[in-house]
Amino acid sequence: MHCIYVLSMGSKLLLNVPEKDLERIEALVNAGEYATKSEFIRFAVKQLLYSEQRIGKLESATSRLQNQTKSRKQVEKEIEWAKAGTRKTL
Amino acid sequence: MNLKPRLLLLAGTTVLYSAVAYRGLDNKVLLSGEHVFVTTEFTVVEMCRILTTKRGLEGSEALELVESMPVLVASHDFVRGRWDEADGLISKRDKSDIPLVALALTIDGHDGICSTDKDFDVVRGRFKVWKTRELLKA
Repeated sequence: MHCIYVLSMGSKLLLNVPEKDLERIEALVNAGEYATKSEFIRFAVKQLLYSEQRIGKLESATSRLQNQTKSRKQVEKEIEWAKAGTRKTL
Repeated sequence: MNLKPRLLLLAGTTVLYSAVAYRGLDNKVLLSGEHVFVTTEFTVVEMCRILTTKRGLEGSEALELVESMPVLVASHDFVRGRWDEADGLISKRDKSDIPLVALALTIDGHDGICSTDKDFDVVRGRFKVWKTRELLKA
């Protein structure tokens, strides 16, 4: 385990990172993909937060939609209706 | 750590709309994050059409829902080059499946089409066609 400090606008975070991961991060930094190890971690955190937010939105939207659904048959009919529209367009 | 290999799968409205509108296997597989799904713009249009016309969502809400799905969307231009070939393969069964077959012909190295639709039986010789249930065991 290795430690990385991530500095961001005055906040500091100490992370324990497995050596293998650290080597890969360093390789990316050395290759010029990221300016520093901290920049890599900040980017990864941003990506993960964005993806969590997206999944959260999707889960709440699908849950609302699924509560409206009366049966599998209804879903099949809706799909068939949409595909008929595409057939007409093509 | 999950070491299961990820599959690169192509899916259309049948699977993707079921995944958001019905609590079932399609929903489980799509949200599991274990596979990478790719679809076409036609699916986005079909889904938005259902969501707005049949489910009463605003256009922006429908688009936001579709965009939040963990699915990559290929543009019409991307599949255009293989359109005629796809037309020859599937249009006798269902014209609306041309975009997905064109996508399957365009992308190299994908792991198959995910669909429960029997119309895809005609392309089974060319591509692996996965049923959702099979993906849970993959």
